[in-house]
Amino acid sequence: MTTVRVISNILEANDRIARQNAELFSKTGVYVVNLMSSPGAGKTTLLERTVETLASELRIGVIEGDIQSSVDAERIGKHGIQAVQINTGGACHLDGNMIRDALEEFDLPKKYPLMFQESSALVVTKIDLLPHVSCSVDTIELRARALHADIDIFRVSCTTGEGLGDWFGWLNKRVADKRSRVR
Amino acid sequence: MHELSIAQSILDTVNQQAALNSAARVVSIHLRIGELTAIVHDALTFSFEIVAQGTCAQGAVLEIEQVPWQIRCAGCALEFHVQGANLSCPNCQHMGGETITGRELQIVEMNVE
Repeated sequence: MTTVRVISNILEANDRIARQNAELFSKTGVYVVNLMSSPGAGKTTLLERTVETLASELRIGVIEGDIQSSVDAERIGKHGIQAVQINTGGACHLDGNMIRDALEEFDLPKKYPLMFQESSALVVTKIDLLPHVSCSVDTIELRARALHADIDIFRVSCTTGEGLGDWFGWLNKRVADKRSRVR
Repeated sequence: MHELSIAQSILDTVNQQAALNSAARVVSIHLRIGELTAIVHDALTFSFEIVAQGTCAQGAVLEIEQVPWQIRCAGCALEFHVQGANLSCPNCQHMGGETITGRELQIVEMNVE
């Protein structure tokens, strides 16, 4: 038996493609946002509110990941935005928890620390429901900042519109920065 | 189920290395996996068994070395293992710091015949 020394990062191929994508975006001045959450947190609703407001100023495209359907892309497409749906064709790793209360997003900093270390912003959604649930957004912020001191945090409600303005402003600034850096 | 695509990535590298070393069979593969990657070891082992079928890595044993999530306290620079998602430093109680280890996802070596 022979031992072969490998030392290779398992996701190397994926990282390579991701770097190529990032280069393409830099060259063309496209600002890309990766929106992540547990199921039911309101990613598509936040996207809908965002494109409704920003579509007149920005050219926006959306890539939706879903297990089976194209419902999300259709929801986005209704706003006159080009939307592409990627069907993953399998269960996501949260499958056992799919039906849990959507408000469980509030426990995320505890469950998925890596996501918070890598993210530049945290959008806490559905804040209009706060009077009805036992959840401390301050605790969430504290934990998120412990993982990532510089993370930008937004508290929004897509139902009442509260806090959305700050989120739009943040996006607009990032888009402008990206465009200004095109060589 | 991101374990399945990770198993496929492992297999691709392993098969490539086996061919490079003119190996007929892969006996075992040593992996280093950080706690923060949220990979379920059993799911990875199971996925690998399936994708490896019919290749020279069929039946190969995955030896998984779990790397603990360690952070360097932003307050006092103590390096400690984060347990039960508790980020407060055991020395100065400061919350959080820089991650030192725990994000690894590597193939270290493999035994072939």
